[in-house]
Amino acid sequence: MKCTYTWLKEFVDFDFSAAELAEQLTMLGLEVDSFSEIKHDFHDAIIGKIEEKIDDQHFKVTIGKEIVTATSSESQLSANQPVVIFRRNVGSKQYSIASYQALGISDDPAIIYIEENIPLSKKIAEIIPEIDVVYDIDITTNRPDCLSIIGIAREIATCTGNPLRIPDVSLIEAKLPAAAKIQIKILTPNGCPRYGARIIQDLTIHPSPIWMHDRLVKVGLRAINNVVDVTNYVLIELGHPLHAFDYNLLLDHQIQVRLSEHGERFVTLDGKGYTLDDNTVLICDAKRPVAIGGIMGGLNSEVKNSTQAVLLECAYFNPSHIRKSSGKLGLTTDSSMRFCRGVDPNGVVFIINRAAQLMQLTAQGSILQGVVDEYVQPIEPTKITLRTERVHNVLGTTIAAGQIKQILSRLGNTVVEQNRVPDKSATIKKSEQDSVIFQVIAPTFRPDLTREIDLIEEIARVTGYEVIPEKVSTSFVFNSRVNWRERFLCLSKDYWIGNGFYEVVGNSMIPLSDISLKFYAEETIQLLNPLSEDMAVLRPSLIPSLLRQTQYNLFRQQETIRLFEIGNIFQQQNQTHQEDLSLGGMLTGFALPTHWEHKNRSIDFYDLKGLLFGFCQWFRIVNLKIKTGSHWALEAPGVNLEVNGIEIGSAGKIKKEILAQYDIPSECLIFELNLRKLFPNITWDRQYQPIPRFPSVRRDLAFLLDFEITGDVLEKEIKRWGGTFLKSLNIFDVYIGKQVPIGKKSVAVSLIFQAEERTLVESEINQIVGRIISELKRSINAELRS
Amino acid sequence: MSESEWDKQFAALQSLQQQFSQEIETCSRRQDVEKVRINFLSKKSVLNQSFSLLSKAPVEIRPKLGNLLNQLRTEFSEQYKEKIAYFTELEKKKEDIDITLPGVVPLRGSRHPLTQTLDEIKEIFTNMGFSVEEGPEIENDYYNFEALNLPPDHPAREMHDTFYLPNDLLLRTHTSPVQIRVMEANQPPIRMIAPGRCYRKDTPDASHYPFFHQVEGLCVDEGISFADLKGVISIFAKKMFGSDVKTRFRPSFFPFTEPSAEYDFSCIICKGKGCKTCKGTGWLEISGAGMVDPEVFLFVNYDSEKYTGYAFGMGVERIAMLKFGINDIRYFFENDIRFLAQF
Repeated sequence: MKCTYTWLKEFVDFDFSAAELAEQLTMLGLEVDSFSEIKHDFHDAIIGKIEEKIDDQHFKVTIGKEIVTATSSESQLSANQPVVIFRRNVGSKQYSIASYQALGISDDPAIIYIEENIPLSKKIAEIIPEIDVVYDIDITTNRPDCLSIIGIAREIATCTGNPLRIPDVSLIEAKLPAAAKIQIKILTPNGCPRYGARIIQDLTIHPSPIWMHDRLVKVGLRAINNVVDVTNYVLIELGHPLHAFDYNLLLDHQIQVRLSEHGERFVTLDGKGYTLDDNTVLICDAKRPVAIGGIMGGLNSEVKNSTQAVLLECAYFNPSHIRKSSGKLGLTTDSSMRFCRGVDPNGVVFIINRAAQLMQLTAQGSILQGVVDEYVQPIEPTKITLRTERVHNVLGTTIAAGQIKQILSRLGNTVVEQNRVPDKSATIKKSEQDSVIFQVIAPTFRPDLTREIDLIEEIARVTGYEVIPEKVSTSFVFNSRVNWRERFLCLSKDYWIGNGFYEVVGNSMIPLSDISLKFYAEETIQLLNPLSEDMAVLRPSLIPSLLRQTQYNLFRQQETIRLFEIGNIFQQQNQTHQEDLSLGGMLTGFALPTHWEHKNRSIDFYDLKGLLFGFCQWFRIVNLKIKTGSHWALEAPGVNLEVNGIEIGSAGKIKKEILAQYDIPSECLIFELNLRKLFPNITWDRQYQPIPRFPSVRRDLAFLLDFEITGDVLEKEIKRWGGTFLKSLNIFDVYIGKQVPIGKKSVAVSLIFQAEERTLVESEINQIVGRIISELKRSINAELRS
Repeated sequence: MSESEWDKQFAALQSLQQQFSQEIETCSRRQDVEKVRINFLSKKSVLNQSFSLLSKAPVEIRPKLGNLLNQLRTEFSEQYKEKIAYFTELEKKKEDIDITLPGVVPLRGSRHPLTQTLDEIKEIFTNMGFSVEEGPEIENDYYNFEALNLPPDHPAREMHDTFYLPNDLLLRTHTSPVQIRVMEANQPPIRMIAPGRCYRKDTPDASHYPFFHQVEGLCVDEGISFADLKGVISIFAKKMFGSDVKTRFRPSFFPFTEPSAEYDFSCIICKGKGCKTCKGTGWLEISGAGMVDPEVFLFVNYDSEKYTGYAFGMGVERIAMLKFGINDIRYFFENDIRFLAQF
C-alpha cells in the first residue's frame, strides 16, 4: 500500500518528519518498506488561458494582467482553453504549455487538463505540493482497513491523540429519486450481502483535475478519466472498491446480483475473456453480466468519453467467496484483494456518497436523490468482553484501565465499563489498579477484532511493545530430556569430520532428468508445482546430490574430496510416503594426507569399509555384516550392510556410466545408511570390563590359501579352533606374486592369546597353534608357510 | 727371497693400497667400514702380517719396506677414521629435524556453517530448559495450516508459497507444525524448539532459496506472558551475538500468534549506528514471534483460560549469514569446499 505524507495530513495532524512518520508507522505494525521524497520542480508554472493561436506551435496565452507567447508541440489547442504554462529556463521569458510529463507529474505526454473555474495565474505549486513523501507500507493481511489513507491516518490519530478528519459528504441531490431509474435485486445474499448504487446524470467525461492526477500517480495508479479516477481515488482514500457503469448501457436499467452458470463467458474491461464456474458472483443487467462481482467490471458497460450518466456502485462481497473466485480465475485486482481481506459492510453509503461528491466536483452532473441500497441481512458489529486482568496476564505488564479505554476508543471501538472489582491477580504486584471489565463494540471496518485477545493485541500495539519488560524466568522446567537421536547425529558428524569429511547440505529437490530417478521409478515423489524442472522431484537418495557436489568441487580444482550429509530422503511406498533420515558420504582422490616424507595412494574399497566399520564400532553397533548386493549406482559387486539381518545401507564404487552421467572424471566411492533403521541398533549403555592383569602372547602365522578362500572364512576357522584364550586375530598381510603359486594366496595373521587368571605358558600356546594349523589344513587346505 | 720376489712383494702392497681405497670408497653403511677395517687393519690383515717380513728383508730393502708399511698403516687408519667420522656426521644429520618442514596434517573436514549455527542455537535454548523436537518435512494441510489458525481461505496463506505433493500433502512451509504435534502428545508445561528444513516456492536469489532451515520455539504454561517471550529472545540475542545486543519488538501479524511481533536485534556490525547491513536503521530484522493464539490451543484441546504461551521463529540461514558475514544465501547450498573449509 502506497500513501503520501500530504494526503495523510489531510486526514490528521501530526508533527512527525518524513523519517519519524516511517518509524511511527513501523512501530505500530504498519511496516514501512521504503519511503522516498518526491520533489517537483514546476518552473514557476501557472494557470493561463489560450487567447489565440499564432501558428502550429505558438499560442498567445493570457495569465490575467498579461498576455504571453507560449510554445507547444500540440497544435490542437482551442481558444479559451485553460492551460498550464511554465518557463523553460529559470528567469526566462520563454513559456511553454505544460504536459504532465514536462512538469514531472506523470509520464503522460498530454497537455495538462485544467478546469474552467480555476483562477488565472494561480501557481501549480499551490495545487500540488512541491515536496511530498511516498511511503510503501507492508500491510499485514489482518488489516484491510489500513489499505487506505483513512485507515493509516486513524492509526496516526490513535497514537498522537489528534482527531481524525473524516470528509464531510453532504451532497446536493436532484429531485428525481435514483430508485425510479434503477432496480437492484440480490439473488445471492451469501455471495453479496450488500449492494448500493447512485446515479449521476449529465456528466462530462474528461481528464481529472491535476491534483487528483498527481495523487493517483504517486500511489502507483494511472489517471484515466474523471469518473474512473474518482473510483480509484476513493479506493485509495477510503479503502473500499467501487465501480462506475455507463448507466445507458445497462439493459432495462436493472441490476441483478447472481451466481454464474457453469461455462458462462465474460469479457472484463481489460479485454480478456474468462470462462466461469457455477459459483462466481456476477453483476448483471436485465440480460447479461456486466461485472464479475468484487473483481473486475466488464467491457460491455465500461465508462467511455461518450458516457453521459453513470451508475456508481459500492457493494460488500463475502471475503471467502471472492477469494475462491479470484483464485480460480487467476485474477487478482486491487478490488478483489480488498474484498478478500474484508471491507466495511456498513461503510457502503458513506463510500458511495464520497465518490458521488468527488464525481460531481470533477465531472459536474446531477446526483439523483438517494442511494438504492440492497442490504438483506445487515452485519452487526461484534461485541467483545475485555478483562483488564487478562490484559495484564497476557502482556506481563500493567496498563491502566483508563488508557486501555482511550486506546480502544480512538481506534473506533465503543467502550463501556461494565464492572470494576479490586484486582485479585497475584501476578500484578502493588497495583492500585482495579480489575475492570469492559464491553467493547468493535467497528465493522475492523473485521480482525472479534475476540478479547484481538483487543489485547491492539492495546499492546498502540502502547508499544517497549513498555513490556524483558522477564527472565527463574522457574525450572523438567522437560528437557536427553535426546538420544540428537546426540547420535551430533556424534556421527564428529566421526565423519574427524575422518576428513566436509558436511554438505544438499538440495532435497532434484531434477526431473536425474539418472537416479530411472531406478526408483514409481517410488519417487514429484512436486505438483515445482519451481522448475531442475527442482521437481524429492530426492529418493542422498547419492544424486552428493555426486552433483562432487562434480562441482572437482571442476573447481579439488582433487581429494570427502563429503557427507545427514538429511531426509523421500520415497513413495504403497500409497503412503516414507521420509527417512539418511547418512550419505562420498570419497574421491588420495587416501592419505599428501606429505613430502611418504608416498600417497588413491582411496579404495578397504578405506571405505574401514570407515564404515569404524563408524559402527563408534556406536557399539554389533552384528554388522557386509554382503554383496546390487545397487543402481554401484559397480558390481556392490556391497550391502546388514545389522541383525536388516539391511541398513550400501557402499562401494560408483559405476563408470553413472559417473559419466554426472560428468565426474574421477573414481568415487560412496555409501548411504538409513539412520532410521540403524538407530535402534546403537548401544548407548557402557558397562565396564576389567582390564586383563596378565600379559598376552602374540603369534604370527602365514598361510598359503586357495585363492577362493575369503578372509571371513579364514577368520571363522581360526576362531573355531583358537579356543577361549584366543582374544583377537588380525589379518595383517595378503600377498600374491613371486613364490606364491597361481591359484593360491599368502595370508598372514597375528593371533593374540590371553588368559584372565594367569600367564599362559609356551607349551599351551604351541598346542593351540598346532591345532589351528592342522585343522585349517584339513578344513580349508591351508598350508603353513615356513 | 730373490730380488724379483721382493719386487713382487712391493707390488702386492701397492695393490693393497688400491684395493683399500676402492673398498673404503664404496662403503655405504657404517657396518661396511667396519668390515674394511677388519680386512685391512686388524692383526690378521695382510698389512699387519706383512710387518713380519721386515726381519727377513735384506738391510738395503728394510728401510724402504718399513716406510711403505708404516705409510700404508697410517694412511689406512686415517682414511678409516675419516670414513667413520663421515658416517657419524651423517647419522647425526639424519637425526636432526628441520622443524620448519611441513608436518603430516590429517585430512580435515568441518561441520557445515548452518549446522554450526544451529548447534549454537540449540545449545542456548537447551540451556534454558528447552527440549529439541522434530517433525516430518512432508506435512498435510491440517498441521501446516489449519491447526495453526490458517483455514483454507485465509488471506495469510498468501505469505506461504507452498510446494504441493500428491495425495493432499505438501512440503512444510515452517516448522510450526511440530508445535501442534508436540502439544497433541503432551500436556503443559512445554518448552521446546523445533529445528528443521522448510520449503517455500521462492526463486533463488541472494536472500531466498526454495528451501531453508527454521527454528521454531514454543513455551506453554500457566502464567506465561509476553514479558517472558521478550526475556527469552533477549537472552538469545545476547548469547548469540554479544551482551551489548539489544532486542526490539514491533507489532506484526501471524495467524497463530496474538499479539504478534517482529523482533529485531540492534545491528551487530555497526552497533546500532546505521550501516549497509542494517540499511541505516541500526536494526536487523530477525523473525516473528508472539503469544500463542487461543485458537491454536483450541485445536490441541488446551484450556486457553488456564494456559498461555509464546512462540517464536528464526531462520538459521539468516542468523548464520549475520554471524559469519555471508551476503548470499546460495553459498550454503553450493557446498564449495573452499567455502566449507572456512568454518
